[in-house]
Amino acid sequence: MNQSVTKTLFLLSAVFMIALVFPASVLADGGGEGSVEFSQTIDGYKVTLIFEEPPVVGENPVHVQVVDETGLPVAGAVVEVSMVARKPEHKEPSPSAHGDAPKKPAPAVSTGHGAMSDKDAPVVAPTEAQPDSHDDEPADSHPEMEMTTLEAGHDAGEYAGHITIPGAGEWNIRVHMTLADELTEIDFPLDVAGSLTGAGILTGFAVFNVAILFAAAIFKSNRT
Amino acid sequence: MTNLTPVPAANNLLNNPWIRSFMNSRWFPGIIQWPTLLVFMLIMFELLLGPSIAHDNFGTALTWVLWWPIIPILFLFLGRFWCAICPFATLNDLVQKFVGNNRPVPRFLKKYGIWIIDALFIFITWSDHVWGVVENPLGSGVLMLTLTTGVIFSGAFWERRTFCRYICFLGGLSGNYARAGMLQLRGTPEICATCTIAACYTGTEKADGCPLFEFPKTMTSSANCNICANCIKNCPNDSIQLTLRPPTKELWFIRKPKIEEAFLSAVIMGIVFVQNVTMLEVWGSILAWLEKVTGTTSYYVTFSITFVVAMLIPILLLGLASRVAQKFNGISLFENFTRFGYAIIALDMAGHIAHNLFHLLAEGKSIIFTGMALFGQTLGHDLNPAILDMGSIQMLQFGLIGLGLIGSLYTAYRIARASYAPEKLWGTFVPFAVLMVILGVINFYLFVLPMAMRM
Repeated sequence: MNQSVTKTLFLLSAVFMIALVFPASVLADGGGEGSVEFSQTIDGYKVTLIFEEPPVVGENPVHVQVVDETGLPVAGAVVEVSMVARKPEHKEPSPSAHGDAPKKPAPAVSTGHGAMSDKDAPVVAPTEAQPDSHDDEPADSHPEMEMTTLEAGHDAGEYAGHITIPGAGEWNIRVHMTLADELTEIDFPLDVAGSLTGAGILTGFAVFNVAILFAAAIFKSNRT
Repeated sequence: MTNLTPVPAANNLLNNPWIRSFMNSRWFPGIIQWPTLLVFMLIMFELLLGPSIAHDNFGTALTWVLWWPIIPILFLFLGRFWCAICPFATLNDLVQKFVGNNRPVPRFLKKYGIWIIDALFIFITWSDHVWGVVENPLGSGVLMLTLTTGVIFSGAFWERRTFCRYICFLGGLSGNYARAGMLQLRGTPEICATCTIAACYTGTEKADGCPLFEFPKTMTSSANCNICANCIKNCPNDSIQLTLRPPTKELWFIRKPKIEEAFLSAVIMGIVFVQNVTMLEVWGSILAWLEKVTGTTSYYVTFSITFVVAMLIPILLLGLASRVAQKFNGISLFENFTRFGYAIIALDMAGHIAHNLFHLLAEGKSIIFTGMALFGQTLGHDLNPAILDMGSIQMLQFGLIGLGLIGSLYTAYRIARASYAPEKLWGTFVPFAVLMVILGVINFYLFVLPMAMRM
């Protein structure tokens, strides 16, 4: 096989393999963009957390709507949001356990990972909100990210801002609402999965490196 | 084959029969390389397929809580020995054995290799903060895979360990630190002078030639010696000596100082600053202020500003000291900068070790916790991962910075004494002494402030 043909084959293989290195995320749960909502009623107040677009790793615009038991919007509250890494459920140790958090019944939201963000994530059914779910946890057991204060939105009872999701994983979005000097905290669980899974990345790199080895072997055999 | 009687150095470690026998053995360094490679494979598995939270990931714990803090300590005591057992080196050799083309090192790598290493080191440090490497197991995994790909390409097409010598981001750091290290391998000049075989470089049936392209006969620096012992095995004249020396001694007499190496020394100091600053509890306040000043909350912007400023501080201070010294010694700013940049290396090492000592000693037990989780044994999420209390860790950090400062001051003094006439000595030394004190004080201050955890 002459050298130019070999080089061409190598280049074609390399381009083909590079195309496989960064696979686009594929999720089975339907498509379409749209907002994601979480709701919980506590102490007579219905608190709804809305992501304007499906949540991704990084900065996300959010707004919170608060209405009272009669359905009237509640203005004048101080509303803040923060991210808390969720404590994994305790389970019996098994031989195959690798310390992974247990799988959640709700499908995960596709997210970006840093610069490789994929915004075309499908809408996800929100998981059950957990009011004051952290009461029995030690105060410093789960690092809570810095709180972001939401500003009053256009409509009464609406508070808007941005929240930063630091990375893929299992999170609680904690809404802190202070009204008439009374603080109420509500956790909304959110599973955030990387759009590029470790297995996919490993496969991509493996294929690319095999191509390098293959090409090197061809070059070597041509030289000897 | 020549048969010359070696002139033994007083402290030649190879005079010890056990050491000589071990290093001449075909088991060295393979007996350490292969287990290291297996551990690396486990780390890769965990990083890519294990828990996505750093706190729970054994790969993250092994890499950033154990290996990264220990490695500068290794460089100090054993020179660049890590490079002899590095899994990437083993992988390079394996690839080369089966499909290696052994082409010569490209000229651009020979000419710009250290600059490439400098740029990669800066880029990886920056990307760690903005994209997440240390605190993101997947990010760490991608970094390792990228390096693996580079190693495989290098081993497949180029000779020896081209990646380790000219590309590896850790190579520049390890080279600088190895110069300040306590272990030295050299040929015996009187024996090498009459040798015409150069088996140390070309190799024999016992072992390959030097993988990092060094020639012990003329070698004057430990920057590119990984103590692999190939030359010890190959030399027919027992010329190779392995000796201990005072730390930083090699820096006092650098024959051909290079601007890229001096620049790297200053950059490392800046990186130590930024790594410390971003782990402080006041970092949030600093970020908030930057966001206010820049009018953006983009971390890319705010962190990049911090990063550039942190690196510029030691570079500009070194430049300023060089300018002042120029007035006294009449040497160009460029030459002063190049020559005395090496004096910062002792503080670099001290700051690096001190910073990572926090992670090793305040989070060291996380290695056990995450390791046990691999076997399904969870000890609970709330256990204290610290090996030592914060007060003791801080004392160690201060002590290290103190030693680093003394090392840098003495190195600057010895460089001045070796390079300039006595009447120019103090005028040359004092500006750089002031520089080292300033850098030392900055380091002290950063370690006084409370630091946040990595795991």
